[in-house]
Amino acid sequence: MTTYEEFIQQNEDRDGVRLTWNVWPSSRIDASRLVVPLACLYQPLKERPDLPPIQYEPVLCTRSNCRAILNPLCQVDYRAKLWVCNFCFQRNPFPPQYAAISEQHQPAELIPGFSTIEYTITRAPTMPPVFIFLVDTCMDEEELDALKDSLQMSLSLLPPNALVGLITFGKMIQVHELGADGCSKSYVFRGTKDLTAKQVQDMLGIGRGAAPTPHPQQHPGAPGAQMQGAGAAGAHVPPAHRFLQPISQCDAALGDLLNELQRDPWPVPQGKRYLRSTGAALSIAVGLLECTYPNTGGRIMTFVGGPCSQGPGQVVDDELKHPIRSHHDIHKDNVKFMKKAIKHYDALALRAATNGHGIDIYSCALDQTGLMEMKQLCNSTGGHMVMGDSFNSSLFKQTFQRVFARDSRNDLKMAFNATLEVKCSRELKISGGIGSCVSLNVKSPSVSDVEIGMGNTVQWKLCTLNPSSTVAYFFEVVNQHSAPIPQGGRGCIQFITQYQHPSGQRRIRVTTLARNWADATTNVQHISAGFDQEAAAVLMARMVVYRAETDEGPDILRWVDRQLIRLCQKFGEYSKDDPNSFRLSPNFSLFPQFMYHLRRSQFLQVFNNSPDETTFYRHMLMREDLTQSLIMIQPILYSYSFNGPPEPVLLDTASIQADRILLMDTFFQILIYHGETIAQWRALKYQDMPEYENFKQLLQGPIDDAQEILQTRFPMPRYIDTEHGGSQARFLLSKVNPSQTHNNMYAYGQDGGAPVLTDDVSLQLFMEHLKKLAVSSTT
Amino acid sequence: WGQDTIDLMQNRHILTPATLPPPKIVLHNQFHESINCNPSIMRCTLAKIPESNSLLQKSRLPLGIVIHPFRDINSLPVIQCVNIVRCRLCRTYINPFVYFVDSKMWKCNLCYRVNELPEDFQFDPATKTYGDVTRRPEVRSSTIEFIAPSEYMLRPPQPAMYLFLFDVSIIAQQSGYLDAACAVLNRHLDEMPGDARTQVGFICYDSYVHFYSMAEGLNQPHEMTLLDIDDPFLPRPDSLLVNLKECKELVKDLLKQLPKRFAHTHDPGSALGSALQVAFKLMQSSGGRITVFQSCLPNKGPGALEPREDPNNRSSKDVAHLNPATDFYKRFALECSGYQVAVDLFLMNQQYSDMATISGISKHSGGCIHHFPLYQRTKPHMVDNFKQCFKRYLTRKIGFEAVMRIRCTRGLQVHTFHGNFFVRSTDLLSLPNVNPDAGYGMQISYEESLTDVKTICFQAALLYTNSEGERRIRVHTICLPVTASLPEVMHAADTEAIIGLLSKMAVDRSITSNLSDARDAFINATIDVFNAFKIAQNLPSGQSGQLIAARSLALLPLYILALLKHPAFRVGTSTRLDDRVFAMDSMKTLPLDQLMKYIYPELYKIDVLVYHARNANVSTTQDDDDDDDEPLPEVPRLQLSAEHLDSRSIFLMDCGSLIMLYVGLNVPADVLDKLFGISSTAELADYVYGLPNVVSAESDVLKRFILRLNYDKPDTSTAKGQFIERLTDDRSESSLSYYEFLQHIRSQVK
Amino acid sequence: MALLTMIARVIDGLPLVGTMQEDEQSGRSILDYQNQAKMLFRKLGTNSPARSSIETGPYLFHYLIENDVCYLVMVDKMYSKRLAFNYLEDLAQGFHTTYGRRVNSVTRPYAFIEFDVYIQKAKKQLTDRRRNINNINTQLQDVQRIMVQNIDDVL
Ligand SMILES: [Zn+2]
Ligand SMILES: [Zn+2]
Repeated sequence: MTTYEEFIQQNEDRDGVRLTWNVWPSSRIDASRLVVPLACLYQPLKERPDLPPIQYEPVLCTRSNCRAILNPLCQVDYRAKLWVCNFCFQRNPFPPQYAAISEQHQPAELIPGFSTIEYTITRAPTMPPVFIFLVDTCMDEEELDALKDSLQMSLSLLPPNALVGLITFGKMIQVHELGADGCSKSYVFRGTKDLTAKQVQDMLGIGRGAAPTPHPQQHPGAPGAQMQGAGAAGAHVPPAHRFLQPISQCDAALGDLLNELQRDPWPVPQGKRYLRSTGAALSIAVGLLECTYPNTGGRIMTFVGGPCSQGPGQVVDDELKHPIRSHHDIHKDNVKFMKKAIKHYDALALRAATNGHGIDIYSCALDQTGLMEMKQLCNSTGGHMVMGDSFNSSLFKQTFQRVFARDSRNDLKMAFNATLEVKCSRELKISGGIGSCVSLNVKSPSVSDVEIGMGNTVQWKLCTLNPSSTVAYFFEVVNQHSAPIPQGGRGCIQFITQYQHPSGQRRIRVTTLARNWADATTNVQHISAGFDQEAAAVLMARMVVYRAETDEGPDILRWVDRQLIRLCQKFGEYSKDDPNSFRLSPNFSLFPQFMYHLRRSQFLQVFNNSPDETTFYRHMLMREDLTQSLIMIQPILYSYSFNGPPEPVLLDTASIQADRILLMDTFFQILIYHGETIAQWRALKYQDMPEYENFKQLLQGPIDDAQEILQTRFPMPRYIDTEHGGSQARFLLSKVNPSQTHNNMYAYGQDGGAPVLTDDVSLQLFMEHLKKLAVSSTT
Repeated sequence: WGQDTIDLMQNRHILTPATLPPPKIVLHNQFHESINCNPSIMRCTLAKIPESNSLLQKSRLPLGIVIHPFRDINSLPVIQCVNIVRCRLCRTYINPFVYFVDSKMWKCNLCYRVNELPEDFQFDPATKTYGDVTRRPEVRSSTIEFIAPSEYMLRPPQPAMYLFLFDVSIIAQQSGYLDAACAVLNRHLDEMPGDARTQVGFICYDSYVHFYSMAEGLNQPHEMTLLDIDDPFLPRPDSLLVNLKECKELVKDLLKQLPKRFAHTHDPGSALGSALQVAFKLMQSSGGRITVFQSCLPNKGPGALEPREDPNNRSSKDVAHLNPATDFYKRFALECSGYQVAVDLFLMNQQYSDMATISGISKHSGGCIHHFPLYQRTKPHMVDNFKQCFKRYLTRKIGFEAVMRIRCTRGLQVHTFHGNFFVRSTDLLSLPNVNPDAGYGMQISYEESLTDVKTICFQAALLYTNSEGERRIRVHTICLPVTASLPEVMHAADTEAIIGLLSKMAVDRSITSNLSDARDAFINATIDVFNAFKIAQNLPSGQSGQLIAARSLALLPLYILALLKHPAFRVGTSTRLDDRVFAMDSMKTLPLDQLMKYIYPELYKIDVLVYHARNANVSTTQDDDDDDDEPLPEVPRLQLSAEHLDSRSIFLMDCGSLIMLYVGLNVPADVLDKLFGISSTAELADYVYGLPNVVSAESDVLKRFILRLNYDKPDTSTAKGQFIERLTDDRSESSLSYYEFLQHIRSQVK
Repeated sequence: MALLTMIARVIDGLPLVGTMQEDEQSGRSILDYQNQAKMLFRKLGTNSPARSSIETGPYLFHYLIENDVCYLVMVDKMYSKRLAFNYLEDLAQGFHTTYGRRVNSVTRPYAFIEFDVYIQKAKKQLTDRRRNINNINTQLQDVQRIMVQNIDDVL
């Protein structure tokens, strides 16, 4: 028998699923007493190069309100050629093409190892993905040149059949025509005007039935037009062909356009900001894609070098003396533009999401650019949100390059226009989902009244996603205590993800899982043994952050505390009112620590962060998989010393030692910290002396390890090299548990740790309080 | 002198033998020797000014001046001096007609103030010597140009700015004018006046407005299309008007591409108003010239118009819609005027385009209007005619940021102005641009009588920035004697100037009242003049069978009849409204010499040239520039009547902007061969541009003759209808012959 | 940004080059400042300081005299003095090379107006440069020592 740890790992590897509880309480009342809800993290496109290519369509349960997909958990009657749906128990005949099946001859979807399987729908038309570059030109020459380089580079990374388009903006917005020869051409819009989708479409001549202004280049029969389509003479040229063309046709033209791209020409007087029309530009980009390729995979890649300072979506005015809003301003409700801007971007996000289009924002500026207002564009559509200081930084360049990463089959690691449907056994209902998606508002008997995250639906839209994209789903056990589940019964969940593969194929990925029921009144130990504290921590984090997005402040922290205390009360072993007696089993023991760090994290503590930073951090937490999310919640600290091989150490001030090098990975930052002695040696250049070769190697160790992380992480983290006393050491000091602070260091005596100047409670103190409250009979 | 009379009834061939010179202005006493203003620049309707308004009224003649202030002049004295000497009271420029009290003082001839002479005025800049003030060019020449010191500049002289607006709607494309326009522009870019700062820009418009950015660093022009034409704006702050010298390659590239870019358009829209609005935004800061090519009715965006003309009503007596349909274009022009922007219009229309409304952009901004109705790329004579005209337009002189002030001697005042401009104050015309082909007219009235003075003067001063960035003042002064005698007044009448002024007044009357009134006024004026003359000469009243005219006024009925038959004022003949409106505009703006040919073309029988060539046996070398000294024979001018035509001769008609040849059916073959290189008249095409390049003495002489008649725009055609139409002495279905007209006048004279 | 640039001859204040800011907003009022500048030119003499800054309304005139020619720019008060003088030096160098020898022979105003083409380019560079302050000529003498006067005291 495998351990739960191994079981959880296997399931994650195979199905991309991590559940808070791996044995499910069999009644509603029991479930509600578990404190942590029954929920899972699901990675719909987890990389599975081992999956067999299946070129037929899935077999569906014939019950009209079920339509679950045939899976290894179904009972099959090989003789009668029938299968029993494990969700509704409907007996379904196999379709004629399954006539040859037998126990020895099973289709892949019935093989237990293929609880996750992927179908390619060959009869669906293949559509190449559409990419619109939406480029801010309000930036210094140097920045713009760097950005242009990256964009040029990306042209070679796109699949040749991908459709591309270019929109640039500054004070005005220009929609560029592609392949106009002899004279490049663009359509210009005022950045202050909020045009409706219809207006944009009519003006650009791309609305339904609108006659575009044909130009010689686009005239049917012109050389450009003949290359379009399937080669058939007189092939239909889509109305938007002027703006969106296969890269193979327009790479030269687009390359020229990018080459000649110039900084926004409008003068910026002393003491003013650029007039930047991000909001109107996004509106036009969304409108363009909406009417030309609705419900087709596409993404608008937005590059911004500063805040939107005019027109719809404005987040700040152009007076430099008026700084962009801070958390403090928001808290004091002293924000002029925020609400209107959010409304604008939210509406755009919804439109894009409805049409299946993703929006990325690559924001590179020293100041904030309004990510907080624009966040739903990424959060709702699955688009990337990348935050950096400069387009000329390796952070941006590497990150952007990684957007176009390819898998082992040389396909982009990028999927489009996905619909994720969740089905579950009758004993369960679906409370909602949290992730970079939107609800499709599909009602079903499986919809729970209790809403967590985006509920009231069994389907969600993920406009763009990649292998690490992870959505959290929350379930409610609805079985009444009075209606016991038959012995050996199992609860089932099925995830059906339909999406557009980067190759243009329509694919369906199906994951089906089942877990045992247990009666909590009699077998609570079975249930607690199946607790996955890591999954629980990440899911709690998503819930908290989801709440925090709508309800800032101390209530959130109090809610976290209360949940933690209740969990400890429920699953801790203790004698009433005796804190010292308190014990947690190993699979619960780390949970309080996770919560401790979550409370202190940048996700919930906004001081010292700008609203944009908070938005960015939260965005990443809402989309990454469990491992990465855990790093975000509780960073990993490695120690390098002469005393032995590198080892993980506690995220604690005690780990900061003079003769150590520390490597901290917070997901967003990779930090190398040289202890006092190490720093002195390094300053004396010992590493350059042949007799101290081992010191050189010690220095090199964390650098190599950091490089490994930097090479793979998306987005590329900030790399910090610091040392004892260095100003950047504050990043380390703000993360470690302040077991020694200036308040208590003398009491503990000198044991080599580094005191941290903070009034935060230490983990130890936190645990003491927790124990006290958990065992208290008065709560 | 000049007191003879003539009975018109007896002398119907009144025009022979040659065109009459304008009446000579004779000044008394000290000005006898002074050189008066050249009549081609400034002329008064009367070479002697009646001493009072009542005397003027008795003459029934109009008092006014016609002026061609920026005419190309070969030997214009240009001087630069520290002080420009002007009257301290009325700011008149010193001129040949002032009175020098002594060597230190001069008396203003307009307001009579005595002014001090600055010391340096004794210095003659021409000879660089001190001495007699009368040697100063200001005192010797009645036309002079000053280079202005910086007090005459509100701001540094602005560069020459040329912005071209092209209608590229489907109708424009069908006419194909853009090919020709771009080709001419491309060829003559370097000849457009301007210094190193000269800037050019281009805007095309159909339902949308297209800009062309020629920014630094671009390898090709970038077209930026404005879709929101109801709220037009500039897509970028720079690079839409570019330095011609520095961006010449991009400009030339663009001009090559423009005709192709819209060749396949199906867009019926023409958003002229939006294009104008953005053009103004572009030009606002510097001023300059906007050239608009319009080919249809503007039908999109601000200033959109509805068709108003009823094509079935083109020969009706009542002509409607001579007034603008909206004041949008006028308001626009006035705004332009305030920012030193002039708008010129080339109407290349295929259909009714409401010239009456859109011409407002030029009329009130000091622009000019050219009209090429039914322009078609397939008609070579039209293409060539347009190309010649546009070339002249591009390369002729231009003055920017101009104002013109007309001053007159105390007692007189200007009360009405004619031409394209904006009247900024009582005597000041705002002319954002001034060009050498623009003429103006002014009506003069009395403020007090001139009993005590012997002469009066008019002075026109044109302050402008030339294309090289120099601020200049061109001053014309004309001096006229005053008389108390009615006969003297009438004998000193300048018929051409009178026609020039009457035609302008008639245009105004057509617009403020109606066309019938204007036509009646022409006839009444003629009758009144004959009546007045009868009284002046003490001729017996009552019908006599005679129609006695002063020699000076002998041509009046001939010209009035021509005016009544002119497209501007005719009725009964199908006349497109736009054509009529353009003709009216021409009446208001043509300089007098051009206007006279436009009203009453010059007709010559050119046989004499042919025989001259044969007899003189002149050399037939090609380099005719050098051996031109030998004089051409006198060619008699004919009145415009078919009675002078015969089938064995060749006739030439000079209509100003057009020269036509009428080749008789029986012209000897050898003449045809020598002149046209053909053997029979059947081989003549209806429209031929220029003369065939035949090397013969006859051809050579003809070409020289045409050269003498015309300076810039030769165009010949043999379309008989057009030729016959201009024979205004003859009777037509709906109009009187010259003799019938005379009879009518005689019957009305009491 | 250079709102107004003028070049004049010191001996008689004759304007040699003038240019106007193509800014729709500041339009007409600039004319007044231009007249002030013209008056200022007339006040200049051989004793005038070679570099000076003069306050006028919300703006500053900075001028530089070299080879009997005065180069003047009007900028916003906030605008970097260093950049302004850097710009004037650039103009002085460009102007002297092309027109230096003819300065004393001309009599009409704005005789070298074509130099505006150079000024326009220099102005554009100036705006570009403001964003990249490192490119400034560090050789420039200490601009802080340049005297600042008020226009009313000067005229
Ligand atoms: Zn079912
Ligand atoms: Zn006077």
